[in-house]
Amino acid sequence: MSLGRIFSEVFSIPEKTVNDSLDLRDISSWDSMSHMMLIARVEEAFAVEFTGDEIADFRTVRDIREAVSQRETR
Amino acid sequence: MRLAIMQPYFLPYLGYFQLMAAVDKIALLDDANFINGGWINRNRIAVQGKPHWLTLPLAKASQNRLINEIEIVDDQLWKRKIIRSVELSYQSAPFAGQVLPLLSEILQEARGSLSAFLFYQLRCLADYIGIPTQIERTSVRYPKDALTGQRRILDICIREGASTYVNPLGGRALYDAELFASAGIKLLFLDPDFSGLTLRHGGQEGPCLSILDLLMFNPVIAVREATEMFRLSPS
Repeated sequence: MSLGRIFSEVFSIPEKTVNDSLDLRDISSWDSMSHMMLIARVEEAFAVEFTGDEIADFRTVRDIREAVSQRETR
Repeated sequence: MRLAIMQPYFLPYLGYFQLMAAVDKIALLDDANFINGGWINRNRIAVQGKPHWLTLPLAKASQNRLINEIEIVDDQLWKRKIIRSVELSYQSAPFAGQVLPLLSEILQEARGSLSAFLFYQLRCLADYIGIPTQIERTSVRYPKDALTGQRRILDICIREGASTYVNPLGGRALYDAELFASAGIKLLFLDPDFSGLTLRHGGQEGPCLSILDLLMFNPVIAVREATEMFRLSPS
Protein backbone atom coordinates (compact mmCIF):
# COMPACT_ATOMS: atom_id res chain seq x y z
CA MET A 1 0.00 0.00 0.00
CA SER A 2 1.28 3.47 -0.86
CA LEU A 3 1.77 6.30 1.61
CA GLY A 4 -0.71 8.38 -0.38
CA ARG A 5 -3.34 5.68 -0.06
CA ILE A 6 -2.85 5.48 3.71
CA PHE A 7 -3.18 9.26 4.06
CA SER A 8 -6.26 9.15 1.89
CA GLU A 9 -7.88 6.47 4.05
CA VAL A 10 -6.97 7.90 7.46
CA PHE A 11 -7.92 11.49 6.68
CA SER A 12 -10.58 10.94 4.00
CA ILE A 13 -8.83 13.11 1.46
CA PRO A 14 -8.38 12.37 -2.26
CA GLU A 15 -5.18 10.44 -2.83
CA LYS A 16 -4.21 12.87 -5.61
CA THR A 17 -4.03 15.71 -3.07
CA VAL A 18 -1.37 13.90 -1.04
CA ASN A 19 2.01 15.33 -1.96
CA ASP A 20 5.31 15.64 -0.15
CA SER A 21 4.75 19.22 0.96
CA LEU A 22 1.34 18.52 2.48
CA ASP A 23 1.41 19.59 6.13
CA LEU A 24 -0.51 17.22 8.37
CA ARG A 25 -2.02 20.04 10.40
CA ASP A 26 -3.43 21.62 7.27
CA ILE A 27 -5.67 18.56 6.87
CA SER A 28 -9.02 19.45 8.41
CA SER A 29 -9.58 15.93 9.74
CA TRP A 30 -6.17 15.79 11.43
CA ASP A 31 -6.03 15.57 15.20
CA SER A 32 -3.57 14.00 17.60
CA MET A 33 -5.55 10.74 17.69
CA SER A 34 -5.78 10.37 13.90
CA HIS A 35 -2.06 11.20 13.75
CA MET A 36 -1.41 8.09 15.85
CA MET A 37 -3.69 6.02 13.64
CA LEU A 38 -1.71 7.21 10.62
CA ILE A 39 1.55 6.19 12.29
CA ALA A 40 0.19 2.75 13.16
CA ARG A 41 -0.95 2.23 9.57
CA VAL A 42 2.42 3.33 8.13
CA GLU A 43 4.38 1.20 10.58
CA GLU A 44 2.23 -1.82 9.74
CA ALA A 45 2.29 -1.29 5.98
CA PHE A 46 6.04 -0.72 5.70
CA ALA A 47 7.13 -2.94 8.61
CA VAL A 48 8.97 -0.08 10.29
CA GLU A 49 8.92 1.45 13.75
CA PHE A 50 9.44 5.14 14.40
CA THR A 51 10.90 6.71 17.51
CA GLY A 52 8.75 8.82 19.79
CA ASP A 53 10.52 12.01 18.74
CA GLU A 54 9.99 11.21 15.07
CA ILE A 55 6.30 10.58 15.61
CA ALA A 56 5.90 13.84 17.48
CA ASP A 57 7.93 15.83 14.95
CA PHE A 58 6.37 14.56 11.71
CA ARG A 59 4.84 17.60 10.03
CA THR A 60 4.68 16.74 6.35
CA VAL A 61 4.21 13.77 4.08
CA ARG A 62 7.87 14.20 3.12
CA ASP A 63 8.97 13.78 6.74
CA ILE A 64 7.24 10.42 6.91
CA ARG A 65 8.33 9.29 3.46
CA GLU A 66 11.96 10.06 4.27
CA ALA A 67 11.80 8.28 7.63
CA VAL A 68 10.39 5.18 5.92
CA SER A 69 13.05 5.36 3.18
CA GLN A 70 15.87 5.64 5.71
CA ARG A 71 14.77 2.42 7.34
CA GLU A 72 14.28 0.61 4.05
CA THR A 73 17.84 1.38 2.96
CA ARG A 74 19.43 0.23 6.21
CA MET B 1 -5.38 12.85 38.93
CA ARG B 2 -4.60 12.10 35.30
CA LEU B 3 -6.82 13.73 32.70
CA ALA B 4 -7.18 13.39 28.93
CA ILE B 5 -9.29 15.53 26.62
CA MET B 6 -10.28 14.30 23.18
CA GLN B 7 -13.00 14.73 20.58
CA PRO B 8 -15.51 11.89 20.85
CA TYR B 9 -15.13 9.18 18.22
CA PHE B 10 -17.74 6.67 17.03
CA LEU B 11 -16.78 3.04 17.83
CA PRO B 12 -13.12 4.11 17.97
CA TYR B 13 -9.99 2.07 17.43
CA LEU B 14 -7.81 0.54 20.10
CA GLY B 15 -5.63 3.66 20.49
CA TYR B 16 -8.60 5.66 21.76
CA PHE B 17 -9.18 3.14 24.53
CA GLN B 18 -5.48 3.18 25.37
CA LEU B 19 -5.78 6.90 26.02
CA MET B 20 -8.84 6.23 28.13
CA ALA B 21 -7.04 3.50 30.09
CA ALA B 22 -4.08 5.80 30.73
CA VAL B 23 -6.11 8.33 32.72
CA ASP B 24 -8.52 8.63 35.61
CA LYS B 25 -10.88 10.83 33.64
CA ILE B 26 -11.41 11.66 29.98
CA ALA B 27 -13.29 14.78 28.92
CA LEU B 28 -14.97 14.49 25.54
CA LEU B 29 -14.35 17.74 23.69
CA ASP B 30 -17.84 18.03 22.27
CA ASP B 31 -17.94 21.82 22.05
CA ALA B 32 -15.31 21.77 19.33
CA ASN B 33 -16.26 22.05 15.67
CA PHE B 34 -17.51 18.94 13.93
CA ILE B 35 -14.97 17.47 11.50
CA ASN B 36 -16.23 16.34 8.11
CA GLY B 37 -14.42 13.22 7.01
CA GLY B 38 -13.16 12.57 10.51
CA TRP B 39 -13.92 9.82 13.00
CA ILE B 40 -16.67 11.50 15.03
CA ASN B 41 -19.58 9.82 13.28
CA ARG B 42 -18.01 6.90 11.47
CA ASN B 43 -15.54 4.10 11.69
CA ARG B 44 -14.54 1.00 9.83
CA ILE B 45 -14.95 -2.72 10.22
CA ALA B 46 -13.62 -5.48 7.98
CA VAL B 47 -15.83 -7.00 5.32
CA GLN B 48 -14.11 -9.96 3.69
CA GLY B 49 -10.81 -8.54 4.87
CA LYS B 50 -11.39 -5.09 3.44
CA PRO B 51 -12.34 -1.92 5.30
CA HIS B 52 -16.02 -1.02 5.28
CA TRP B 53 -17.46 2.18 6.72
CA LEU B 54 -20.14 2.27 9.42
CA THR B 55 -21.59 5.79 9.42
CA LEU B 56 -24.01 7.54 11.74
CA PRO B 57 -26.36 9.62 9.56
CA LEU B 58 -26.48 13.19 10.84
CA ALA B 59 -28.87 16.08 10.32
CA LYS B 60 -27.24 19.30 9.13
CA ALA B 61 -23.71 18.31 10.06
CA SER B 62 -21.18 20.95 9.15
CA GLN B 63 -17.69 22.03 10.14
CA ASN B 64 -19.28 25.34 11.14
CA ARG B 65 -21.28 23.68 13.89
CA LEU B 66 -20.15 22.29 17.20
CA ILE B 67 -20.37 18.58 17.83
CA ASN B 68 -22.91 19.11 20.59
CA GLU B 69 -25.17 21.07 18.23
CA ILE B 70 -25.60 18.18 15.83
CA GLU B 71 -28.40 15.62 15.83
CA ILE B 72 -28.51 12.03 14.66
CA VAL B 73 -31.10 11.12 12.05
CA ASP B 74 -33.81 9.28 13.96
CA ASP B 75 -34.62 6.34 11.77
CA GLN B 76 -34.57 2.61 12.47
CA LEU B 77 -33.58 1.67 8.92
CA TRP B 78 -29.93 2.74 9.10
CA LYS B 79 -29.54 1.04 12.47
CA ARG B 80 -30.85 -2.23 11.04
CA LYS B 81 -28.48 -1.86 8.08
CA ILE B 82 -25.47 -1.37 10.34
CA ILE B 83 -26.38 -4.31 12.54
CA ARG B 84 -27.03 -6.51 9.50
CA SER B 85 -23.74 -5.46 7.95
CA VAL B 86 -21.82 -6.32 11.13
CA GLU B 87 -23.72 -9.59 11.54
CA LEU B 88 -22.86 -10.73 8.03
CA SER B 89 -19.24 -9.67 8.33
CA TYR B 90 -18.58 -11.34 11.67
CA GLN B 91 -21.05 -14.24 11.74
CA SER B 92 -18.25 -16.76 12.24
CA ALA B 93 -16.21 -14.63 14.65
CA PRO B 94 -15.83 -16.38 18.03
CA PHE B 95 -17.20 -13.54 20.13
CA ALA B 96 -19.99 -12.34 17.84
CA GLY B 97 -22.52 -13.73 20.31
CA GLN B 98 -21.41 -11.23 22.91
CA VAL B 99 -20.52 -8.25 20.74
CA LEU B 100 -23.61 -8.13 18.50
CA PRO B 101 -26.02 -7.67 21.43
CA LEU B 102 -23.72 -4.95 22.76
CA LEU B 103 -23.82 -3.16 19.40
CA SER B 104 -27.61 -3.48 19.21
CA GLU B 105 -27.94 -2.04 22.70
CA ILE B 106 -25.66 0.85 21.78
CA LEU B 107 -27.44 1.67 18.53
CA GLN B 108 -30.85 1.63 20.20
CA GLU B 109 -29.76 4.86 21.88
CA ALA B 110 -28.57 6.47 18.64
CA ARG B 111 -31.07 9.30 18.35
CA GLY B 112 -31.20 12.97 19.25
CA SER B 113 -27.94 14.56 20.35
CA LEU B 114 -24.84 13.20 18.64
CA SER B 115 -22.74 14.22 21.61
CA ALA B 116 -24.95 12.47 24.15
CA PHE B 117 -24.92 9.32 22.05
CA LEU B 118 -21.16 9.34 21.59
CA PHE B 119 -20.77 9.71 25.35
CA TYR B 120 -23.15 6.77 25.88
CA GLN B 121 -21.45 4.43 23.40
CA LEU B 122 -17.99 5.18 24.81
CA ARG B 123 -19.27 4.45 28.31
CA CYS B 124 -20.83 1.16 27.13
CA LEU B 125 -17.67 0.08 25.32
CA ALA B 126 -15.38 1.09 28.19
CA ASP B 127 -17.55 -0.84 30.64
CA TYR B 128 -17.56 -3.88 28.38
CA ILE B 129 -13.78 -3.82 28.04
CA GLY B 130 -13.33 -3.14 31.74
CA ILE B 131 -11.95 0.40 31.70
CA PRO B 132 -13.24 2.25 34.77
CA THR B 133 -12.15 5.72 33.63
CA GLN B 134 -14.65 8.50 34.30
CA ILE B 135 -16.05 10.16 31.19
CA GLU B 136 -17.33 13.75 31.02
CA ARG B 137 -18.48 16.03 28.24
CA THR B 138 -16.81 19.43 28.06
CA SER B 139 -20.03 21.16 26.96
CA VAL B 140 -21.79 19.96 30.09
CA ARG B 141 -19.09 20.55 32.68
CA TYR B 142 -16.64 23.21 31.57
CA PRO B 143 -17.71 26.67 30.34
CA LYS B 144 -15.85 27.44 27.15
CA ASP B 145 -15.54 31.21 27.57
CA ALA B 146 -13.29 32.54 24.82
CA LEU B 147 -10.49 30.07 25.37
CA THR B 148 -9.09 28.00 22.50
CA GLY B 149 -6.32 25.50 21.90
CA GLN B 150 -4.02 24.63 24.76
CA ARG B 151 -5.39 27.52 26.87
CA ARG B 152 -8.76 25.75 26.93
CA ILE B 153 -7.13 22.43 27.74
CA LEU B 154 -5.16 24.01 30.56
CA ASP B 155 -8.28 25.69 31.91
CA ILE B 156 -10.11 22.35 32.06
CA CYS B 157 -7.11 20.72 33.75
CA ILE B 158 -7.11 23.44 36.41
CA ARG B 159 -10.87 23.22 36.97
CA GLU B 160 -10.49 19.45 37.42
CA GLY B 161 -7.51 19.74 39.72
CA ALA B 162 -5.57 17.48 37.35
CA SER B 163 -1.96 16.75 38.28
CA THR B 164 -1.19 15.29 34.83
CA TYR B 165 -2.54 15.85 31.34
CA VAL B 166 -2.14 12.99 28.86
CA ASN B 167 -2.38 13.49 25.09
CA PRO B 168 -1.52 11.28 22.12
CA LEU B 169 2.09 11.80 21.08
CA GLY B 170 1.05 13.15 17.69
CA GLY B 171 -0.11 16.36 19.36
CA ARG B 172 3.12 17.09 21.24
CA ALA B 173 3.98 20.14 19.14
CA LEU B 174 0.70 21.78 20.14
CA TYR B 175 1.58 21.97 23.81
CA ASP B 176 3.94 24.19 25.79
CA ALA B 177 5.23 22.11 28.71
CA GLU B 178 6.38 25.23 30.57
CA LEU B 179 2.90 26.71 30.45
CA PHE B 180 1.46 23.56 31.99
CA ALA B 181 4.33 23.29 34.50
CA SER B 182 3.66 26.85 35.65
CA ALA B 183 0.17 25.66 36.62
CA GLY B 184 1.62 22.62 38.38
CA ILE B 185 0.44 20.21 35.69
CA LYS B 186 2.66 17.55 34.20
CA LEU B 187 2.35 16.79 30.49
CA LEU B 188 2.64 13.20 29.31
CA PHE B 189 2.35 11.87 25.77
CA LEU B 190 0.99 8.49 24.88
CA ASP B 191 2.63 6.36 22.23
CA PRO B 192 0.76 3.12 21.44
CA ASP B 193 3.02 0.10 21.26
CA PHE B 194 1.42 -2.37 18.88
CA SER B 195 4.68 -4.25 18.26
CA GLY B 196 3.87 -7.07 20.68
CA LEU B 197 0.21 -7.21 19.81
CA THR B 198 -0.95 -10.78 19.21
CA LEU B 199 -4.66 -10.08 18.86
CA ARG B 200 -6.58 -11.56 15.95
CA HIS B 201 -8.32 -9.16 13.62
CA GLY B 202 -10.44 -9.28 10.51
CA GLY B 203 -8.56 -7.01 8.15
CA GLN B 204 -5.15 -5.96 6.95
CA GLU B 205 -5.26 -2.81 9.04
CA GLY B 206 -4.87 -4.67 12.31
CA PRO B 207 -5.74 -2.58 15.33
CA CYS B 208 -6.69 0.48 13.24
CA LEU B 209 -10.19 -0.76 12.54
CA SER B 210 -12.98 -0.09 15.02
CA ILE B 211 -12.55 -1.79 18.39
CA LEU B 212 -15.56 -3.88 17.35
CA ASP B 213 -13.27 -5.86 15.09
CA LEU B 214 -10.88 -6.81 17.91
CA LEU B 215 -13.75 -7.58 20.27
CA MET B 216 -15.25 -9.97 17.72
CA PHE B 217 -12.09 -12.04 17.45
CA ASN B 218 -10.54 -11.90 20.91
CA PRO B 219 -11.52 -12.51 24.53
CA VAL B 220 -12.36 -9.21 26.14
CA ILE B 221 -9.59 -9.73 28.69
CA ALA B 222 -7.04 -9.83 25.85
CA VAL B 223 -8.42 -6.56 24.45
CA ARG B 224 -8.27 -5.06 27.93
CA GLU B 225 -4.61 -6.07 28.18
CA ALA B 226 -3.95 -4.46 24.79
CA THR B 227 -5.33 -1.17 26.08
CA GLU B 228 -2.33 -1.10 28.44
CA MET B 229 0.24 -1.54 25.66
CA PHE B 230 1.57 1.97 25.38
CA ARG B 231 4.44 4.15 26.49
CA LEU B 232 4.02 7.44 28.32
CA SER B 233 6.76 9.98 27.86
CA PRO B 234 7.25 13.51 29.14
CA SER B 235 7.56 16.38 26.73
